[in-house]
Amino acid sequence: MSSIFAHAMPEGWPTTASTRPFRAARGFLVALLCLLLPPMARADLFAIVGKSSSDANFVAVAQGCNDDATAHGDRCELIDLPGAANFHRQSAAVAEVLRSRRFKGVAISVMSSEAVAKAIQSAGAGTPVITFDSPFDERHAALGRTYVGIDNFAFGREQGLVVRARHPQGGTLCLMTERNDPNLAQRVRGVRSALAGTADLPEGQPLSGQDGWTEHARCPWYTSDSVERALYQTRIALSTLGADAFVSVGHWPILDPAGYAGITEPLRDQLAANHPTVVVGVGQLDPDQQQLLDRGLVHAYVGIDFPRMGGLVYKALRAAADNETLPPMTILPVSVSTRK
Amino acid sequence: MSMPPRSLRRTMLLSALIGIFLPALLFVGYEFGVRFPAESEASVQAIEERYSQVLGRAMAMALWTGDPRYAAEMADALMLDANVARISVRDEFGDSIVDRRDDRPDDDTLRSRTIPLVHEGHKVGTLTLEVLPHQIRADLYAKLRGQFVLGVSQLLLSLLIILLVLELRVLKPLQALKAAAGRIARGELEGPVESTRRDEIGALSRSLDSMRADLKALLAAREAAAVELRHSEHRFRIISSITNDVVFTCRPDGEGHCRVDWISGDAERVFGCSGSRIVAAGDWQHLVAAGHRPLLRDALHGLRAGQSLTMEVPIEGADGARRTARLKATLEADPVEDSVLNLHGALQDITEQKRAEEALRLADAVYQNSGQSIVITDAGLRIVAVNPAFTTLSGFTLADVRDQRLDVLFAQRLSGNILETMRDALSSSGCWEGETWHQRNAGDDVACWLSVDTVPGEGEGVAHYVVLFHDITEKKRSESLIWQQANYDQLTHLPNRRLFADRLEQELKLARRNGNLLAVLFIDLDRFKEVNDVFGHHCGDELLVEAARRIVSCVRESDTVARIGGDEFTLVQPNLQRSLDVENTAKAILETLSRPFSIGSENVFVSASIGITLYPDDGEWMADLLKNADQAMYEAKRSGRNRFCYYMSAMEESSQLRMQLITALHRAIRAEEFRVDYQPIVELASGRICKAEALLRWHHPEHGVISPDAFIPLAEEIGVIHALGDWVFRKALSDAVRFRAVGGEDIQIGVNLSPVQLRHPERQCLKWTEFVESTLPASAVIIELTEGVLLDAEDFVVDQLQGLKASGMQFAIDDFGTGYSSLSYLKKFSIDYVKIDRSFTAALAPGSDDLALCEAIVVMAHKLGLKVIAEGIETAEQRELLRAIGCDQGQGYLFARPMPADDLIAMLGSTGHAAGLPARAAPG
Repeated sequence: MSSIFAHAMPEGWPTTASTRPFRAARGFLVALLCLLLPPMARADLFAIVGKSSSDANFVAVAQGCNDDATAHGDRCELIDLPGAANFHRQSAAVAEVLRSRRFKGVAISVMSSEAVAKAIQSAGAGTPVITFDSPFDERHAALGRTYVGIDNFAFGREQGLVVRARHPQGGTLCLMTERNDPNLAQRVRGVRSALAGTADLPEGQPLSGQDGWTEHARCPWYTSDSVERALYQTRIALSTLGADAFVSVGHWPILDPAGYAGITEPLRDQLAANHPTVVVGVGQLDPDQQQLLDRGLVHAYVGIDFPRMGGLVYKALRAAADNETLPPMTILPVSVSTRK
Repeated sequence: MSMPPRSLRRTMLLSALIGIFLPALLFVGYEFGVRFPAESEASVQAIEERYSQVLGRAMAMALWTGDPRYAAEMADALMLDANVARISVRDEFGDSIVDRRDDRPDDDTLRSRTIPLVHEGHKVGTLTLEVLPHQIRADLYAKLRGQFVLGVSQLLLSLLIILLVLELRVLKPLQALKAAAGRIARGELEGPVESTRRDEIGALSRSLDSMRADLKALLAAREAAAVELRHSEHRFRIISSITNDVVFTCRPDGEGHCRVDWISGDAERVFGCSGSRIVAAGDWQHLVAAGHRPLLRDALHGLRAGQSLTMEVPIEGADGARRTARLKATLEADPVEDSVLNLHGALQDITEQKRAEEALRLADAVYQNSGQSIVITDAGLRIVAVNPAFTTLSGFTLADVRDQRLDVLFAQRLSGNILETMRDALSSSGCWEGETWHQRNAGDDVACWLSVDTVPGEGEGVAHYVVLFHDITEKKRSESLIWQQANYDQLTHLPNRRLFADRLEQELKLARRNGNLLAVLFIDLDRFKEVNDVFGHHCGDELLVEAARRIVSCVRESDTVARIGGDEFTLVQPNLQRSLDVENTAKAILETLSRPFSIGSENVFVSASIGITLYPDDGEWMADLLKNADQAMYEAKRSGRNRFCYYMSAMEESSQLRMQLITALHRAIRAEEFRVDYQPIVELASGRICKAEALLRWHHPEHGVISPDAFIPLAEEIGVIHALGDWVFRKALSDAVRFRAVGGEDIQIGVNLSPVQLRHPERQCLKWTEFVESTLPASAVIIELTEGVLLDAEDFVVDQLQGLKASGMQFAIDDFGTGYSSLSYLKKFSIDYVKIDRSFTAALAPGSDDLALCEAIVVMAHKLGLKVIAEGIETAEQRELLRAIGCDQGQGYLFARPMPADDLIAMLGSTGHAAGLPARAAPG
């Protein structure tokens, strides 16, 4: 699982007309369900504190959690954090949730371990806390009873394996990622490890001929969470760099499916010949994005099942509320989608 | 032809202007003409290059990292520079990534540059940059213009400072030097040329000042020499004029002639002709009157070189009159050649001197022969001369008093230290006049009026004093006599009232200052009037002289005894140690005055009443003390005479009450507050009202009815009794007419007559007879008298009583039995009634002494043909007892109280009988 979902739709950036109403409607629906569902016998309430309640991936997590909770007579509630992700607002929400004593357990996708730790300490112990999507750093790991999420290195490695399968002799790689994100850094390392055929690559070190793979001098591209910039960089990567593979560890190139289609449509033949091979890491796919795969404009999607993650989150919260012994972490397997 | 003056200031200003601004103009021309174009071009190129490099590298990085947004932000930032007109970037696809341009119109000066954007050897795009050199130049020009303005400002400031320094440090000092030089040129050399500077101007100032000082000293020396010369000449002229001498010089010829070379200006004043004429006349003999010239010739013959001559010569003056002159001449010798040079002479007009000497001789004759005593002293008032008249007056010759001080002539006892007073006056005013006493050589005193005048000496000093003596001894004796008469009683030679007041005032001042006790005694001889009347005034005077002598013998020398009138003496005793001392004195006086006085062949006895008052207990002022002493004396009289009495404050209060009563009495008369009431007198046998006694009543508006006993004595004392008695008499008679009209023609009216009324100097009582004649029969009027009136009646009183009696009025003796009860006067004055005093009636009882006495009076009266009226009958028993003993009539409350006239008329009209008595006597 990746924190890119937290940064998927920052406020102020242009989004496509088709995705925004859909996500808003879905969020509203989930919140409505949470309010209208009749309480069960135990009717314990669990809080889901994501990075942004506007992020469809967190809505999906909350939905999955609530589905399973409802089946067990409990409920999950997505804490309202609309707009762009902000760690101050998140830590304040955590403190408020803990002080309210309404919730039997809280699941947090940690943006700042330091800030969330202070919020927990100020509110006092009592309510069990678990993490999902993004865990505490090592210094504050003891604050969470368990972690539910993906293995980001494995996520990147799956992307690398898709590329390696299409270019077994090696080639030139161009990566697209974002600065200062440890989860993304693990994914990049997973990609490079898969292509280099070894897991001993130091973090941040580009490929320089390992197992036939090098990285272009202008890459990796850093998008700064800008869809426009990501599309422009994608265009250069696919048109002028002459790279053999273009791997985006996040969903930036396809956030504007039409824009992406406009860039890649003239290169359809070239892409059909895997020049380059395009692999994109995604969350929940919408139909437009699925169509890009179907039209051969993207060679593969490596994704996460967020509703399932929600179900696991509920399971962990229930167990924590029941004071059961929990494993340090619960890893969710990633999915790889290729053109049929 | 003179050159027009040039201004140093203008020259300096031009120099500064040319020196500063000409290089500045050249510099500015170079800057704007040469440097500015080259520099502006270089600036344009430098900016273009710098912007191209910076922007190119930034744009290349943006495109390299695939960040067109960053490229656009860079372009926007650079477009803020006014020199940049356009930025255009195309990427490696040839697409326009950025195209920014300002909205200014195209300028033909626009400079455009397009460069490839290369990063790490890869061309990632192109950059087109357009800049506006005009703007760059404008900026540069603005900068240059600013520098120019700053430079010009600096130059102007520099110019101002230079001019200011030149003005203060050069021009002003030079102007001051110029002004100083001008003053020196005009001869104004007093003020120094001041300068504290040490530069060239300072040196110039000091040199100029040194020159001024030298010039000043030079001129001063020259002026001093000229002044000295003028002074010398002036002194000579003054000496010539002061001496009034005619000074001349002539040259002898050895033959008795001497030719005049020069003669002073006074020659014309003395001789009436100018000196030049005298010089022209030649020989000096013309200086003297004709006929006397050989004198000069002879004198010159006998004169040798170096010798002088002095002689008096007659001259003819300017008015032609003959005058006398003193000629002094010296024959000048030539010390070298031993020969005669000139004759220097002076001719002094001594005509006035001669006359003065004559006048002096005359004055001396007057002085010697004057009848006025004259003494001449020196400035120290030591006698230097006396004239014969003085010797005659004083008996002293000049030999007796020469060199003695003037006060040797004064009788020290009488004149005191008069010399000092005289000296003060002489030193301040130069003269003195005053009265002095002198002792003649024979030993007796003489009073003189001295007049001292100053004879001034040389300068401001005093040469002599002239002392004139006027003998005023007789005048002094006359004055003394007058003073004696004014201040002393001529009979007793005691101080009179005037001197006494003066002495008392002086003693009071001393007592006030020293806090001493002082007593004033008022001594009045008792019955002195009788002595006068009996023995005559001559004897009275003898008694007074003896009394004065005796009083004086009782007092200390420091006491003052005075006779202040008649038989009244006063005594002032100052410095009393205790009040008892004055009491001893008073006792001594009383004792000595009570002893018989031998007057002629008779021994006369008098006594004295003394009032004593003390300062400061009884009063602090003379008037108060005298008044108090008088009141105390009055009290002593009232207390029986031959005693002394101290003043007490109660006397003052009594006196004040008395004064209030006096005032009220006068007011009551004016306000008609008096009323006459009537008390009926009835016949005891029948009870019929036969008489009424008029009784005066004072209806005071505040105090009600006041008894006659309270005010009649005072009215008598102050004389009001005359007016009051007259009014009562007339009022009673008027009412009596009404009584008689109702009660019958035999009703009589009784009116009291005070002894004082009979002493009225105008015999007021006799005037009543006319009133009686015009009102009713005189027999209807009964005058009630007290025994005292008749007992010591003087002729004056007797005459009046007889006059009243002669008119037909009847007399009644009031209060009979209480006084002398002498029977002789009953016959002497033809008394008609006696009124038994109420004191007898009040205690009447059968067998009592009073009844016996009353009976005796009735019998005696009846024997003399008088009728008896009993007063104060209040009970029927009294009435019956009196009736039983034959008393004729009665009066008292039993019958009626005093009542107003109208009430009495009503009573008379109703019954004719008084209350308490039946119309007919009760049987038994």
